[in-house]
Amino acid sequence: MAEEDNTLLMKRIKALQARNPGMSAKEAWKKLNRMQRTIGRIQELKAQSPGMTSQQAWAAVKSGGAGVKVSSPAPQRPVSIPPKPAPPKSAPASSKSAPSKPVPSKSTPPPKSASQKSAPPKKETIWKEKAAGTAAGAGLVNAIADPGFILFIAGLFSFFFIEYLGITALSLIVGTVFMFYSSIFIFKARGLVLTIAFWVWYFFLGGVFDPLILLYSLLPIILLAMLIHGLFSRFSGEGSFSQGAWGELASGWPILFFFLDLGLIPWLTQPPINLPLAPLVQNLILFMPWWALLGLFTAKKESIIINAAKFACIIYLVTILTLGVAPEAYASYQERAPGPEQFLAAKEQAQEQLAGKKNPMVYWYYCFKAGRYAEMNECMAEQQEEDRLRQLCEKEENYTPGTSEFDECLTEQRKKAKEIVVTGIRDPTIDQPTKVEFTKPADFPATYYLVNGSGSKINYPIELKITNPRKLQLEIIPSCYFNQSNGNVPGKILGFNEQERLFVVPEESREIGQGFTPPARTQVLYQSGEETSTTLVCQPEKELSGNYKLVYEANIKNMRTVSRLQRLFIGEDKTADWKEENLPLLKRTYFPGQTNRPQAPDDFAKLNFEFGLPTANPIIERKEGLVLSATIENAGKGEITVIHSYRIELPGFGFDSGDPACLENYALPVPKAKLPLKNVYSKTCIINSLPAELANPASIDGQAFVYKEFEGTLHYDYLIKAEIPVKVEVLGT
Amino acid sequence: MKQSIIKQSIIKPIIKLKIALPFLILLAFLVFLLAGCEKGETEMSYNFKQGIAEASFKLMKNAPPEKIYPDSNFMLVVEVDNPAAYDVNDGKISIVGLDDKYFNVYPLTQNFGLLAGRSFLNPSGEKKMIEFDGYSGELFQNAREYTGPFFLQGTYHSTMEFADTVCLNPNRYQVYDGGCQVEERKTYAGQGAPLAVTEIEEIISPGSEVEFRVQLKNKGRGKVTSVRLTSASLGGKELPCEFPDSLDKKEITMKRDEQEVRLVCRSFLRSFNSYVTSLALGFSYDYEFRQEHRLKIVR
Repeated sequence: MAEEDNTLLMKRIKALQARNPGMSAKEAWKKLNRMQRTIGRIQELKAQSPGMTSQQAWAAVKSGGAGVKVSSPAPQRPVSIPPKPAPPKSAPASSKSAPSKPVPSKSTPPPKSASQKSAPPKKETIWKEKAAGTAAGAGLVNAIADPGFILFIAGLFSFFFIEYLGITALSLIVGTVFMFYSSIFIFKARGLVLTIAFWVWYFFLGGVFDPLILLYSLLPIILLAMLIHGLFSRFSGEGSFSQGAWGELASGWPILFFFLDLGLIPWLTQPPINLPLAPLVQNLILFMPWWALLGLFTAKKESIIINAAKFACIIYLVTILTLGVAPEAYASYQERAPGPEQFLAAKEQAQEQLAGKKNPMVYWYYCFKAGRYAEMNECMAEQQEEDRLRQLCEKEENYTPGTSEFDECLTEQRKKAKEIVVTGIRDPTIDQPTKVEFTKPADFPATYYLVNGSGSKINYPIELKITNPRKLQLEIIPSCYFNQSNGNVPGKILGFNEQERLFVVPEESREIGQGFTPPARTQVLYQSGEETSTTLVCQPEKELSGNYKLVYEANIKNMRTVSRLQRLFIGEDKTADWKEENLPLLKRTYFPGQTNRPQAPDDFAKLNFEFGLPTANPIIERKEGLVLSATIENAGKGEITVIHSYRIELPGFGFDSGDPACLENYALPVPKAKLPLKNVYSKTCIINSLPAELANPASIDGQAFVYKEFEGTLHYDYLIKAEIPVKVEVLGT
Repeated sequence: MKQSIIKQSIIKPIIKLKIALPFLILLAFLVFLLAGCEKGETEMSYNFKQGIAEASFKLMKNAPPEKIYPDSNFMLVVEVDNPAAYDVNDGKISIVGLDDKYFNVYPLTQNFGLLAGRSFLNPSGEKKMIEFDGYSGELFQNAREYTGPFFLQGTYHSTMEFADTVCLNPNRYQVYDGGCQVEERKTYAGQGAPLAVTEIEEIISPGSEVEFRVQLKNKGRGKVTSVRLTSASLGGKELPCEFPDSLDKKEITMKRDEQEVRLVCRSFLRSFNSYVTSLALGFSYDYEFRQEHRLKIVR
């Protein structure tokens, strides 16, 4: 329809040009617009004065229209017509009684009302009135192509561009642009006010879920937006009040796609939501050009290319759905909506884990070409893993492909990849983990005005809140700096010399007789309850000017997190009948839920270890050939900087003699990555003997089995950061 | 005057007695009936060897306490009661499955030896208290609590006796034999123990041989691990019996998921006429039970 309209318009422009030699296309278009306005006025006059002929109305308009009130809100553009506009149900009387007419020309005088009704519908649609916003957006784009198709192309382009460059932060800008584009051009500005409200809330209010803010600012904004849109819809004749008001909720789509593109799904797979996704599905979702998808399925044009693209997309989606998503997620309340940095971090982390992997379709093609039809999934997984390892050696270890060092690295990485990664759970009986976090004070000087040359230094305070329920003697080295694209400006924490530590000590240590002497170069912070806090003040060491990201760091030294694991030993003497009768009961009684997994407090990092055959099976029958696996997991949002040691307490257990590092190891290297890795170390070894009482529980009087808990300790340093945007305006420059 | 005196002193009482007599007879009959009922009931209450009864084991209230504090002593007291009609021998109770890091219980197993069953001298059966001393450990890190599941597990040895009269009739189709009627299948509710003879099938073969197919079933809450036939007699004479599903024909191990076995006894008939005689069977068995409990340490 839109194509036909445009063709008709071009014909009319050409006809005008033919009648007026020398007239440019732009002038002809303007003239057509003027004509349309005139027709609109004639129709209004006729509606206001029944009985007035078209000729009389024409004369009145030509004479200046004295006493004629023209209510046309904006000049209508002939190119602003959507392909299938919905007929307004409660349009004003003027628009009902004044149907659109063909363009009048000198040779064609304005037709009479009888002929208006019999006018061909194609011509009528060209001149149908549309809302100004819709007309402006859609009209502009329609002249080029379908807005949906434009979004498809742009979305696809940006997707590959961002992926190729590896700048996920660009997603935020691109996502914002696409969100507004789709809101205006695809959803015809129906939810524009709400989209703007969301944007303000998310970026300027920081996505606060404070009920008061929601009640007193966001809710009125939403209601106001619905009211404005409803009234606009009612009086512009675009539809009823309710259509306009509820249409405002169409903003949900751009906002949803904004989050999806930003990394909503990878974020959902992380704690506390932990949405379980099959790995391949996760990959596919990560490789999903969301904006392109939205554009494609909202494209109105009918063409072979669009249809083919839609077909391909459907296959892509069906593949994802067929592979299945297990919706075991649960909702958890947070005071704030996850910020864009959290989404991007989740996306980056997912990409980090998928480092070097290509689009699954590439692997599919490779495996298809290799003729491995029967084992397609295995083949794809192998290829993905191989690519990840190659990427690790090339990008992280900086080896050149083809060299012997690169091959050695690859062999080493393949060996490491075979290590079993152990996942643990949060200890359900420990409510309060050890936590250190920065909290921005309410009076934080986010924007500061400095008089040029005053030499005054700005103090940026921040609260360091320490939750230490286990009364650990924590050592924290605080630091800060100001980050800008052209380099960092160092900062110093007032009252702290370089490498000076904050020593968090339980109040009890103060008591007489404890004999506590704080180490040198420390400032002691006594902790009376389970929590304590102090204020750190950061001062730039150079003068600032402009926008910065103030980065506070707290390096927590000598942190210790103990994890535990329970196992039930039944010995090798049990009959099949005994096992059949007892094992289901024992599993139900001793290992409900996921308690067969290692458990640890929700600290910064933890040592996940488990043993058995397989390692997740908590019932130990054999006394040799058991597999022990351990993984050091970064469970926080910061970075493990040093792994001093780990130790698993398995007294009396025998291991392969060639593997001394099974139960304990010291000074482990922490792999460097762009973003902190989740699993920084894994170790697997074989247990070749058990203590006598565990190998043969019946040796203990009356005991058919032995239930026992084991502990593992991780000793590490951990770095946490807080980034706050600050602005310094120097006056008088 | 004299007549009136005679009338008052002799005739009136006789008339009164005549009226009262039927009432007196009725009263006497009721007394007799009630007395008979009482006597019968007393006899029934002392027949312990009926129904299902088994030794019971339960943890005393507050021993252990619902909540135990770290590093503290506590006590586990098990009340053992034997309401069965037979004595329990070689009784043993164990606390199984506690992690010694959190709970140290001493001793883990205790023998309670003999526990007499119900009898005329002790109509409610014997009762014993068995005490275990415990000590709780520290909680893990700053854990709120620790819950340690454990099983109270016990084993004992006991006996069971069965006795009934049976009709033996080699000429079951001869209508002129006015003797007893053979009951081909008889069912029983129990003999005062968890192990019970639940059914007896009597088959008389043309060669004047009788076969008793005895169904033994564990109707208790625990598990019978093995059953041994200790005695079998028909009319006071030894009756050859065997467990057909066992190699050792006098003893059988019960499957844990199918607590039912069959005993077959065969004997030649002594007479060509029908007669009633007694069938008596004696068994011994090993029994075990298990109960799930929890101990909780709180901060």
